[in-house]
Amino acid sequence: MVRKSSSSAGAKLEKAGGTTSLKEVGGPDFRIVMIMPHRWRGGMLKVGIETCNLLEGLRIHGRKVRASFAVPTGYDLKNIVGLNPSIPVIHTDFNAVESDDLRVLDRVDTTHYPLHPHYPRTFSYPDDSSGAILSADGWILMTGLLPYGPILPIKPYAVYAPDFIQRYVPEIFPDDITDYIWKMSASQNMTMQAAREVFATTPKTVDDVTVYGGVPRARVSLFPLFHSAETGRSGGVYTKSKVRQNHADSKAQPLPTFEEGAAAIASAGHAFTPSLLQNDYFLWVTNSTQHKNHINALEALDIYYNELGGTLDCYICGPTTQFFADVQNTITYIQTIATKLQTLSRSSQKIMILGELPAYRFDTVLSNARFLWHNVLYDNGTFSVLEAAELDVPAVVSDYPQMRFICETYGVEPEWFQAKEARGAAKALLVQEQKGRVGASAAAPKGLEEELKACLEGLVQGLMRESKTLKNQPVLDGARS
Amino acid sequence: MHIGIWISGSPNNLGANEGLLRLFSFFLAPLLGEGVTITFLTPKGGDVALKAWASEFNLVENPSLNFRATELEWDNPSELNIRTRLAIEIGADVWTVIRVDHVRPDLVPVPWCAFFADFLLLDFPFLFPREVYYDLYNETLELAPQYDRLISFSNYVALNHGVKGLKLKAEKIRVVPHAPLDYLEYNAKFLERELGYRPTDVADLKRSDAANILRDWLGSSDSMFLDAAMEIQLRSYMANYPYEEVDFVFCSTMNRPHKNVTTLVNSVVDLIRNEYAPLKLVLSAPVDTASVERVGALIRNTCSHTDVLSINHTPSHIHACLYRLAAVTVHPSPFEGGFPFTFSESLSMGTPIIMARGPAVNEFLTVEEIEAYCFEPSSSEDLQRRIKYVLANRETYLAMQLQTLERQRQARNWTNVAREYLQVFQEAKDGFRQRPVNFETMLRLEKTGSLPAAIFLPTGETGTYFEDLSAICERYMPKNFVGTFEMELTFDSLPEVLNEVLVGRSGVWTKDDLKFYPDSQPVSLKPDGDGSPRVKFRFIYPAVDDSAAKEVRIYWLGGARTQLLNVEWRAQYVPDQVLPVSKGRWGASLLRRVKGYASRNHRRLNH
Repeated sequence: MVRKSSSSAGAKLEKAGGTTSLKEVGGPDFRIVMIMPHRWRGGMLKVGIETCNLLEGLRIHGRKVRASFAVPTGYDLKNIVGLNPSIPVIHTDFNAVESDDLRVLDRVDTTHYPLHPHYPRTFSYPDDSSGAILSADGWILMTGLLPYGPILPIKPYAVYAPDFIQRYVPEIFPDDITDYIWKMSASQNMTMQAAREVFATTPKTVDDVTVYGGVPRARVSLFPLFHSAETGRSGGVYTKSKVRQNHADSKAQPLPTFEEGAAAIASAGHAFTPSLLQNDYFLWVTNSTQHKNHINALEALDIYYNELGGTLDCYICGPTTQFFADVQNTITYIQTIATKLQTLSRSSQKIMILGELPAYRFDTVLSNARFLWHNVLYDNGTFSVLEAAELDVPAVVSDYPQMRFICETYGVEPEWFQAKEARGAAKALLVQEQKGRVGASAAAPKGLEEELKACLEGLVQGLMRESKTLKNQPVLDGARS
Repeated sequence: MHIGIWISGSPNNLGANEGLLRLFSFFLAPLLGEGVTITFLTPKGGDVALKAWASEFNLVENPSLNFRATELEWDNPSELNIRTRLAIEIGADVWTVIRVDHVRPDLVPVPWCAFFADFLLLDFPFLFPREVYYDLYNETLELAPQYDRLISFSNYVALNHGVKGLKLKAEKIRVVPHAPLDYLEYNAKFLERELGYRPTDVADLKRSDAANILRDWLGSSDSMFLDAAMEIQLRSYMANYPYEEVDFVFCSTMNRPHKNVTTLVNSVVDLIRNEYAPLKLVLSAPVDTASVERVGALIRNTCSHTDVLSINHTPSHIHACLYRLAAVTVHPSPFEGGFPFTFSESLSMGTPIIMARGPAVNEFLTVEEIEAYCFEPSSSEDLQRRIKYVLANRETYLAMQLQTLERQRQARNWTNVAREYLQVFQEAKDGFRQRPVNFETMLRLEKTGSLPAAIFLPTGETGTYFEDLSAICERYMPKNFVGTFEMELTFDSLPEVLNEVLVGRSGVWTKDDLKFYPDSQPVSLKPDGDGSPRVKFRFIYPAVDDSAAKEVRIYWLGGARTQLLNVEWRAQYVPDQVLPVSKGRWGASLLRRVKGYASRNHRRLNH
């Protein structure tokens, strides 16, 4: 099949060729690269894999959509679980190109490009030797956060906006903010403003894309949450019987020791044994970044144990939480939290850091918990509350719009509290302790996969339309057949 | 009546949205409608800038409106002298200034009026640097009483700043409150240029059109200030921002410490971060996020660069578009000299407004209106509550405020204001008496030796200098002044021949042959420290007999390169001839101030 071309170079060639006109060779496929510029695991990775799987094999305007998944160079492929095997994984890094570089000026249509005439100093471009990214027909960026300024807009692209934590929790900016405002906010906003489409999964984040990101609403879409019985993170793992099986296994065999866990044990003065699962505890899932509200949370724990007489243990788990066992940590924030945590855990004898748990262990620990504690200042919401609900584990949740939306969508009714009010948080813990394991239920909406596919179809159609208007695109077609 | 309007400062700032010059654009046409002649007098380039500004209001073709400018740049020390001379030539009935510290009313023997918007150093003594306070305070304290009439915009300023603060006579101050403004009508012409049709109702200016006009301007304007980092980071963001789709709070203000912008920034940032409100803040003030200035520092410290945008130095119709697009306007300053323009500007563009409580607001709104429209300026919580309320009840709130605006419209318009100004000018003219040079001025002359006289410097080629000596003496000296004038001419190189002519006497000097006159003599002809040759003459006033000097004409011949650089007058006052003045309670403080003046003047001359 011959792709129509608007390029004048093609037209000239046809004339020059006389009767045996040269025609552009192009495959019928519409090739989209899903680009994950950072070494993410967990939820963001799942979104990438899920989207790739849904894109692959879509048929739009008679063209087959072929997806590929770009991850940073050196990214551990073992993390990528569940990706359709026909989807290639490309390793790529980003590089900087000056905006006055002729290679940029030749390819960016200044009359239609919204940032014109106020280009940034540099653009970021994906630097891959296979040519697969630069020659693709369109890109989907999993974030607008790129290392060297906004994305070089030489391909039609869409951006996924997970959240805008920096807008609400500026503490995550380092001390020298000017450069970081650029990296974490301004350049991201430019990437989004010039995108064909920006999509997010909660109404509040959709709002942020417009109000903070500066993208007109016509180019922002609300996608369904990437969590359902069929497509969601659970993937069938979180059935009660499966967890029961895991639980039985973990009782039968001694739990393996993991290094970070060992540090945590040493520091917190606890030993982690299977018998701990028989304790009454609640599970605090967090990580070591500041938007997870640790200072208020620790104050709440202090009140819960020392004033309100709370009796449940608190188990802390999640990626990088093992650092909280290290009071010598070089990062000031982590050191502060670790020190407070150590003091509190010694006085209460109730707190333990489990570190990052493998999925099957997490299931077990979660299903045995009296409830889940989700204490965050701001993000795009967490599905761990849903995962807990599927296991009949209730949750105590800080109140912000995304969590409200997720809980309302899935019919979960957690115990709410205000993230910045430690006393209220402590009271909520006590209330849930007294209620026991009630209040958990989640009704996963059906047909999400179809809905997601429809959304992605619309998105790809937009990219197709725009790909006709861009000039001088590298094509390198036939790289895949 | 012929009204002269004296404008100081750089012509580049003339067209800016500074409140007082904007005031002129409101009342100028109504004033011309009353059959007066108006002449603007500015430093070099100011006439061009003002003409461009006035052409926007279809006023340039009006034969009653004139623009005059001197040939010297605004910061040239001699500019003031030349302008004074020009003012005398123009011969307006009344001269008026927009700030009392912009002119010395004792320079031109005509009635002087001043717009006395406020003297806020009295209410905010510690918000400004010490030097600013000292200079402004001393100067205003000295100059304000010399005006024949001062126009205030509120009773509060007239009473507290004028009478109580600066000890001005109450009968010299007239309170002429502002009238409400129809900002759509005011900008209709510029908007028509952009839209292709003339909007007569706010609804005619669609939000999307207003946003496009704004974005186009942001994308092309080089007059807007952004600090270096924000220029790179935010310029394109702002030029592509969907203003029509976002609820933003607009604040039209200057960035001065007393404008209370920080409370507003804190409130909006808190609403965004604690209550997750989908808000944005747009300031019309320039903000430098790299500076120590408090608004810039606050934005930097709260990392709110992207949520608090500064869209500044906007032309009037862009300013109107911002009002049109805003969800709500906030006027956070507790102090204004008159009722804030922002009230009628915002409402006439269809946007409700929340104002800070303060004297001006208290004076012109009812108790119920203050309760409903005004927040406690120190309370971010109060402001947050009100912003939330207005956003949730925008239509009813707007309807209520439009009633207030309608009441104000019924009460007065800018024609009423212009007539009242005219009445004040007439009063000044009718009651004018030649002001004597007071004891203070005399002392200054003696101590500093610097007479701020009207001196006409030849601007072009070398060769002649003329001064009507008796006119100077009559203008600046009290009738019974007896003293010595010294005139010093500075050349860039020593003239070969210097020819001085006084009425009745004349003489030709060369370098080697200097002639002396008994009461009018060149006392030296020698290069000074920096090599500039100076020539001094001394005159005694009044003249001893009729044949004595009444005017001075000086010719020189020094080759093509010799130029007269400067002329300075000094007066030596003979104390026992002084007018009787009461030293009274002023004695000690007066001497202090004179010393202060001397040192300031010294600085000025050196610049």
